[in-house]
Amino acid sequence: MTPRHVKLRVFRYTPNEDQEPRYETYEVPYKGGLTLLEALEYIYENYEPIAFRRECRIFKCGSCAVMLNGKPVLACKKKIGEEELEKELTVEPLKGFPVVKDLVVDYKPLIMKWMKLRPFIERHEPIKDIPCKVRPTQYLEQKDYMRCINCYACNTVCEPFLEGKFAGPALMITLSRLALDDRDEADRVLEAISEGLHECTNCKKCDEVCPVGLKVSEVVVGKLRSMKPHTKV
Amino acid sequence: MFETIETDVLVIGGGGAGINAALEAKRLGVHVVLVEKGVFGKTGQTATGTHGLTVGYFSEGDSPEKLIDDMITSGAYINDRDLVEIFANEVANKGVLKLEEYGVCFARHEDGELDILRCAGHTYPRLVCTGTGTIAPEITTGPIPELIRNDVEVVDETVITRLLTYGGKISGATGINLKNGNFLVFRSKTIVLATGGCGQLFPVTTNSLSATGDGFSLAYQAGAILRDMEFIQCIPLGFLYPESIRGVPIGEPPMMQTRDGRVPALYNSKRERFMVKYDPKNMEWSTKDVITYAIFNEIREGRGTEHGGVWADLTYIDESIPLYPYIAPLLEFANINVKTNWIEVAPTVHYTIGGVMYNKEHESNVPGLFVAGEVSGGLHGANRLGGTSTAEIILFGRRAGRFAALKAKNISRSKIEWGEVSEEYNRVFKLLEKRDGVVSPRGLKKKIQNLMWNKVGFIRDGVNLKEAEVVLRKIRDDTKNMIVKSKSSRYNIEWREAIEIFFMLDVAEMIIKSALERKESRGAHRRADYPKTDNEKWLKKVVVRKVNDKMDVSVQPL
Repeated sequence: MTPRHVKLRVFRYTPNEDQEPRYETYEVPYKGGLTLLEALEYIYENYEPIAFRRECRIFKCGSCAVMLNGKPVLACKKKIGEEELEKELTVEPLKGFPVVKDLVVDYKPLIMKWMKLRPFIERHEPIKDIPCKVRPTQYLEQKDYMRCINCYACNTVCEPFLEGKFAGPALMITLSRLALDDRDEADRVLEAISEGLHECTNCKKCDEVCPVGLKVSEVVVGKLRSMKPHTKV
Repeated sequence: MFETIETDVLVIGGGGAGINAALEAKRLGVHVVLVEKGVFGKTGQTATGTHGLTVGYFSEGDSPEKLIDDMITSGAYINDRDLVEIFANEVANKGVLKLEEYGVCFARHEDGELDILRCAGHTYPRLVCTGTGTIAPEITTGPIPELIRNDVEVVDETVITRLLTYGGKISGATGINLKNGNFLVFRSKTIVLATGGCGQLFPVTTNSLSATGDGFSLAYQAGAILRDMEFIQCIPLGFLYPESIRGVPIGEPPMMQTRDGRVPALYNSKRERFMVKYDPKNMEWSTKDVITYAIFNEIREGRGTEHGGVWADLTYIDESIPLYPYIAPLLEFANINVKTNWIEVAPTVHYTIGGVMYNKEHESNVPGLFVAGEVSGGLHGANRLGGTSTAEIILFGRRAGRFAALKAKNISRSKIEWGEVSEEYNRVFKLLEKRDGVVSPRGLKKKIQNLMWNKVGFIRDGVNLKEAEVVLRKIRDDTKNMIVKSKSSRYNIEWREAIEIFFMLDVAEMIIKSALERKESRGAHRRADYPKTDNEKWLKKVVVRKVNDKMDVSVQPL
């Protein structure tokens, strides 16, 4: 039997050095269960030192998110299926971010925006009780937010975000978590509204692409929308 | 001239230890820069850690003294007792739980009370867990926004290549910003080194890609003394397949306990529950070193499974076990149904127990060089007790940050030896620009990993260790033939790997030499030629340091 291969068409671009982006196609030997990350490593080791990010390999750090045929995936979690061997798979950097090189994007614009949200607990008096006295349900409510690995897959499919009308689901996670946290006294709902909360069309594409299975539209956007502004002082 | 960044305290490493050090230093009113090799918030073992944190004493009869006993028993009596006492007292102050001030919410029961767990080697329940499958949210969700509130400057995706000294004292560091390839010179009064461990020296590890042991080598090259480098801790139960997650921890048996204390039973290929031979009292509740040794010994004596592991019975697990949210997605990914079948497991390299020696103020023998977290050595002895490293990075991270800041307040910035800086610039850029050579950095990395696995692994002996020394020297020679294919300095991950190779070589040498020196078996260090623990001779520490450009190994009293 001839060895089977997967064909990856990879976005290549070095700003300041290349005139424009190009695509290179590489053939990677296939074995059952091959992940996209393993395929990228194979290209790095055997063809060219393409630039891509990866760190934990077990869907925890969120750094290897890329676009595969236009959809965001975590490269470490995405297994290439038998049915995908015949066609070319296109790998591109995460949509909506400036490119540093090849598949590596610059998170900085988004991080700067996140920092402006004042993502820390805001309150008048310091917290006295350690461990904090929280509503019995608070832990369970917050558990979902803790699962987010900041891969930003949700943002890449959010039209209002890509059009610049909405800060995007990824940043809303912080606001929603703080809005539900009794320890935080800032008006997070008002903040979310001014960041374009109501531009969300409830298309639920973010739910489909979340690699940890978070129901973003429901637990993040939906919850923020259900809360009234000015309820915290 | 070079791009220069001036600060009072430079924190190297953006995992839990570095973040907490930076925050605490900044609180004391000094200027702080945190530099990190990966994307800030996404790298280091903190981002992938799964288990619990030792947070306090909640049971009647429990006390700091009991934790000290547990840590020293687990550490096989060679811990630095002063450090263990400080640690146990910090735990008593509920220092870890103070993270809740920052918005962290640890796992709770339905009534809102903290969910406290027991872990192997602890005589009492003292741990909180996350309930989410990773610890990262608990350690980073809180402190990272605090860094923003306090305006700590973060320089990420920058690999530090060398620590700078002037007259033997810390004066700064050099680094490469991977995003644009710029060479940076950091000038600082003090440094907190918080670079984590060296799991990447081994092909089967729980550690993430950045754990190439940079800090051990940086400190060593700057003249620091390191101790206990022979002790490499494994997590006994790791995935054997699929290949993409080989080495990923399934968990430690105690973290997979049910509410009534059931843990996975382990069997060899003859379906014997072998722990009865190694620790009949505790069985699978034994400590990491004992279970790891037991598994490797079963495999070595021919009772391993088809894929080179042993069987674990996880048929009992369900959503109620603390580790379930972590393990469930992995099992699904691996297509393994543990409800109906036993699962093949094998130990995986997890934690570098030794590291840079430091005093009660977290300063090494190099004035101005402070250390925190996995890169430091002495707290854990010969075997680290579960749930202590996650607490250590927070408690000792803060302490290192505090003492580094206090010292920085009282001293002025040292001069820089610019000749040293130019030399380093030339060394690092030569790695990139050199056009002749045949070996790739990745090729050398694999050679180091295979050598460490095959000859320096877990049941060691003098013959193999000596061979390993020779092979390692050859690999070091091979670096002369190393070539980085792309000459672009922008986000060149192969260049980063080439820089890391030299760190890995230093650390590998430390491990091999220390392991050769300790002629007994203790904790995580097992020698087939010296199988017994020898308390008469070996209640001592093995230390390494650079003397006349060579690695000097010696044995010192505790």
